[in-house]
Amino acid sequence: MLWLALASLTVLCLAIGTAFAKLDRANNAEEILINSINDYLPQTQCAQCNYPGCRPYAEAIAKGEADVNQCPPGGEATIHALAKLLGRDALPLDTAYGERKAPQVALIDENVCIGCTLCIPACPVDAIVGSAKLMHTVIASDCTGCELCIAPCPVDCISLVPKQHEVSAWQHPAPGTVHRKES
Amino acid sequence: MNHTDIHPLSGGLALSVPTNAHIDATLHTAPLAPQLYLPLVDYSRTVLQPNVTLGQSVLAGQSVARGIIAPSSGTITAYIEHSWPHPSNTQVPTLVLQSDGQDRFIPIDHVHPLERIEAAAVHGLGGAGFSTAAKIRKACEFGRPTLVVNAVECEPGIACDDALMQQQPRAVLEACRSLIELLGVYSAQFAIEDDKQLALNALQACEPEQYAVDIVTLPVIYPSGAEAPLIQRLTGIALEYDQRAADVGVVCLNVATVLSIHNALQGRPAVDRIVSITTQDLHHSINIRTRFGTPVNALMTFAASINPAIATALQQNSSTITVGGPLSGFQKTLDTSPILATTNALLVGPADPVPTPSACIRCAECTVACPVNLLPQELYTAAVTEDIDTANRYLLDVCVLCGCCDLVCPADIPLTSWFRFAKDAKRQRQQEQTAATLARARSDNHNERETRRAQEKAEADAARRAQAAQRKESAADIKAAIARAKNRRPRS
Repeated sequence: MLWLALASLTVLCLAIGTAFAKLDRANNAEEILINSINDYLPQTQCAQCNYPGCRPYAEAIAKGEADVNQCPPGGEATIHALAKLLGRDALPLDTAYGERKAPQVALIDENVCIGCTLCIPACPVDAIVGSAKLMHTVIASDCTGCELCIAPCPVDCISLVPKQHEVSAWQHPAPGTVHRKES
Repeated sequence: MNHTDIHPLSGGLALSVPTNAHIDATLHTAPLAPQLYLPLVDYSRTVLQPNVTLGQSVLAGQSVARGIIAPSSGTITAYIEHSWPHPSNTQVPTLVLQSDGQDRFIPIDHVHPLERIEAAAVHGLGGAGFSTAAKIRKACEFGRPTLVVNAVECEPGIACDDALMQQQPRAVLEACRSLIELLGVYSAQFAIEDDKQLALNALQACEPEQYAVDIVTLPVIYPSGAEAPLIQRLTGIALEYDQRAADVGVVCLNVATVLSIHNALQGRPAVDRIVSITTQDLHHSINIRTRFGTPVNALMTFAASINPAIATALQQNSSTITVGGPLSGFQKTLDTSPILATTNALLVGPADPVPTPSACIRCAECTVACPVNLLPQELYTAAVTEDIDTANRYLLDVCVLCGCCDLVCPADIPLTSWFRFAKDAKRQRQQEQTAATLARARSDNHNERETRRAQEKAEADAARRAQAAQRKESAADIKAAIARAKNRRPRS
């Protein structure tokens, strides 16, 4: 009787243990996949993919709910990287979600700003500083150019400008491509 | 030391100037241009903020932006977008200095010698244009550094260092000695190619031993003057792929920069450099001491006025010039772009047409020619497909962009241009990744905070609702009590 009890307990414990381990591994594998997908996303947090940020989009891709071509800021490079990672087809960027733009940053016209604070919580990366009825400004180095602060502004004092001076962003072109026109 | 003691350079090419070349080693001095252009960009192409105002008078040596000084005295008359000598053909924010012709200098009198070098805006005159003070500071972090003076003129057609050594050998040696004293080292290794016999003779005549300068002659193999191969040959220290000379405690400076440092220590800011002006066929070359900021076209006009061969070459092609040597240079419109610390040479006359490349035949000639032991054909495949990870595996960072592989390639593939392209693409990708990591952390913080706030708000709301409900309940109780009391009260 004792042996039977011991044996059945052992079997029960093993079964429960295996079940938990499987569950845990499945969770872990999914977590790792989500993180690897998120690593390839540009982290602009612009929500153009119709998900509230880069990580939610990564979760949706991992679950198979979203395609890899919904990220305009990431462009072709992100699509190819994700397709390679997931073994899916590298589809062209779905322009329904937007076009790829040159790097940009938000700029607040400080003469027009009324200090309403509405743009501050709208910024997904906390790149706007300011206080009620006081001037607000954008920390240019932290701004991802996601455009999410544009809509909440009641006086339309936020605009987007190119991220860097043209010369800082300049790259040597690939040989054989057309050179910039002489200035 | 002579050849036999030196490690041989693996690869490289024995380039030399045409035997009938006429190199004028006289040092001419360009007239002070009425307008000097000062582009506000540092060596990493970051745009700088000016710290002067329009209409302000400045003295030569006065700072106009971080690391940039006025090359002569005068008035700041404009702040414009202006072209500059860079392959991008872009325009950059530029200050225009109207010189007053009096050329008054601001004294550089900082007590600390490195501060003095920094205030004098000494930048490397070899080609890269790093801040010299930063370089020395970095190398001295490891204790007593090793001093290497680089007088190896990398490319044929650039003779500015040669001319300097021939004309002012004593000043060069004195400058070496003052740098030796500054660094607290015992001697300087002075690397020079063995075909510069006139410069060597001039230096030897001044007894370099008296100045603790050890002259090392190297055989003429391009690119002996590149930092990493030079240091390996002189000191035996092999740089890792991500290291510069300063990282291993070696101060490696161009000979003209050493003279610039000496002048800075004497209180004179770095306001000029020697520019070689050479015809495209490398047959004629002159050397002109030029103020920084001098428009290239003004310098060209002056060069044409003293050398008829250059005047002829300029007539044949007056629209474009090559900035830099025949291997590392780039085409530029001849305009009012200013001379900068990195402008060591200008080539005039029609450039050779670029041949059309054909497919790589994997002959590995480039591997033999590579002075830093890379596999250019593999790097090329990676660069064409923009496969930065593979390019990294083939040590893209080690490439010094010397152009040897281009010269030997039988398929005329512009390998160096591809490596330049890949290096820029890599830099771009690194910047994007850094920005993404930062944005991700900030976004995580933002989300966490917003969730916490929402939760706190929900809790507060619930508490308030409970309180209100309770209040309502007690209000109802009171109402009921009043009603009861009313009912109980006998009507009068």
